Amino acid sequence: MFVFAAEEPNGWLLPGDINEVYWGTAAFLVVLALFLWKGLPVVKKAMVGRSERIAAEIAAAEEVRTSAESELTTLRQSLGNADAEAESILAEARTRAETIKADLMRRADEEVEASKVRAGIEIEAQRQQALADLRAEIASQASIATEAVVTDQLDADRQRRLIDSYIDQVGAA
Amino acid sequence: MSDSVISGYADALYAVAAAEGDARSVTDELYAFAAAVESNDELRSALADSSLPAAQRQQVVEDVLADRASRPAVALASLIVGAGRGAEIGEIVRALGDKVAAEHGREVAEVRAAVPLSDEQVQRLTTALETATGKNIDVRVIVDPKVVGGVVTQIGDTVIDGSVRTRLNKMRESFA
Repeated sequence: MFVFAAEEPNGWLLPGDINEVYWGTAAFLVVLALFLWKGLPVVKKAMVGRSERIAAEIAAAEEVRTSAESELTTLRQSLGNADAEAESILAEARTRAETIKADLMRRADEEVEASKVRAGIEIEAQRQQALADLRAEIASQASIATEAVVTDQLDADRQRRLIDSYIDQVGAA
Repeated sequence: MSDSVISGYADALYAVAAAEGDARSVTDELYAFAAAVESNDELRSALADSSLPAAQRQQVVEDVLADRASRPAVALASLIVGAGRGAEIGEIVRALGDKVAAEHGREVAEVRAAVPLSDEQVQRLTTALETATGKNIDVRVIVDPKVVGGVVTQIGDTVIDGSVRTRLNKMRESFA
């Protein structure tokens, strides 16, 4: 300001014309008064508004943070519940698996026992069949042998005696 | 074959045999022939073979009977076989025998034995059967090796079994 004001240097810091100082000062004071009268409240209001806005933003942020913390807590609780649920499901699955395993083992045991019984019955049946077949074969062979012996011994005389005996029995009946 | 067909043939045979004058004798000869056919598979097959010409089957009959039977008996046997009833000759002749016996107030006893019975045995058996049944009996003997020994007699539905075959069968059953 001093530089620009000194349009015509007088060897001093002040302008060569002292009126300029007066008028300049007066203009400055007018501008200052206008600023203090009109500008300062606006600036203060702007500052207050800004402060309020910042406070509101901080409050909102705080609220968000609180909400986030609350949500975090909820999530943690949910996670905790989910873990518990998962554990419960696993426990139930484990129990069911044990039950199924026990049931399968029981059925397998029963099937083995039933198979043993069936096998026993089948073996006995086969043994009985083999015995029956053997008896039948022996009977057949014995019959064939007996028939051969009887046929050999049935000469004419024996045939005649058999017929005579038959006639006697019919007559006596 | 139905009973009516058997009966029809028996009636026809009886009429011819009676016309020839000695139905009983002809019947006895046919009985013997039928028994021979039934006990001989080859002969039975030949006489029952419808693919053979009738004349050829009848020639077999005449060859078999030849001098063994009277002319009426041969002619009647030839008639049966020529008519394609060779497989049923046993049934037809049995029906004829029943008819002849019935005409004389008698009943036929079919006697199966492994060996032929002597005339004396036939006479004694006839007497024994008449005593046992109270009926007049005509005995028809059929030699059947399957009997093995002894005798099986059938009168109508009654069977008097004294055969060795039956005893052997019973013994076989007792073994089993």
